[in-house]
Amino acid sequence: MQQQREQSEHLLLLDTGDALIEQESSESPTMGEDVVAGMNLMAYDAMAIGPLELGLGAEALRQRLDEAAFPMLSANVLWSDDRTTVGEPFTVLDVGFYRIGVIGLTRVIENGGFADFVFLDPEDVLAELVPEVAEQVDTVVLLTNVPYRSAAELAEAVPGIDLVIAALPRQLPERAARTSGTGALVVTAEQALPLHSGRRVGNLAVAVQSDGTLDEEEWESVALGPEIADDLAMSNLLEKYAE
Amino acid sequence: MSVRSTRVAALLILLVLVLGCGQSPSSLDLLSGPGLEPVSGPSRGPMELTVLHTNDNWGETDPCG
Repeated sequence: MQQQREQSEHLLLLDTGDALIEQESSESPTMGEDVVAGMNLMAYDAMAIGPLELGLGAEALRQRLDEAAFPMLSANVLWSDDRTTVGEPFTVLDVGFYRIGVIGLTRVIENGGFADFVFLDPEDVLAELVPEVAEQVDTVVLLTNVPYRSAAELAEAVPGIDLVIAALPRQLPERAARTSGTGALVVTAEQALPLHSGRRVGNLAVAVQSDGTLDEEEWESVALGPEIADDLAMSNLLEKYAE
Repeated sequence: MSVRSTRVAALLILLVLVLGCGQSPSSLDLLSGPGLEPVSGPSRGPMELTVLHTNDNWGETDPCG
């Protein structure tokens, strides 16, 4: 991340979610506190809330939301008690002379046993929210843990999305894709296989045109192998939580 | 210098000032003259953007990930 920041004048660091714990359970000793601390250290710009974050339960999730120095986003999950959104539905990031709106969308789990949360239909939410966000920004990004193909279908059904960053492909694509009708750019971070979690970073280089549209895209999935040296500050942080 | 001469001189100076002001280029003309650009905000051309994106970050802290 540090190397890339030194090379790129304008950089966003985003996470599609399901980031804080391994299972939809409360087995994690730190309940995701260590991951949030690490993401704070790396200066993430935003993260989508996934079902695994909901699996923390309301109390622990509220703590993680407070600790995160970056917005944790979900436009389609509400707290069941007061019916407000869990996290912010979207955030606006100023990058250079451009305003980039990032909408968070959570993968819907049917009958998931999440008593603390209420899921809304993703397409209905996007149909209402995308025009609202588009009025405020130059470029609209959908950040989601909805599977790759389903996320692309949403961007095809709801015009106005410039970039989809999705998750959970059956097979990691070799390049960035475009939806055929709306022309939204679609990328994903990682292959959902055992021993793959958190081991790759998607790297998208793209030109933002004066009207906010994106082109000249180049994308690759970078494996985080042992050849990439550990960051000392991060190692120290994780050691603290391992004790 | 007589009072009359003084008045004539003052009138001539006033005339030169009025006519001179009328013939001077406006501020808009100055800005749009050759070699000068209108004053405006920074230009907004295409921007190179890098987007790094991750998921399942718990795998970084849990070796079973």
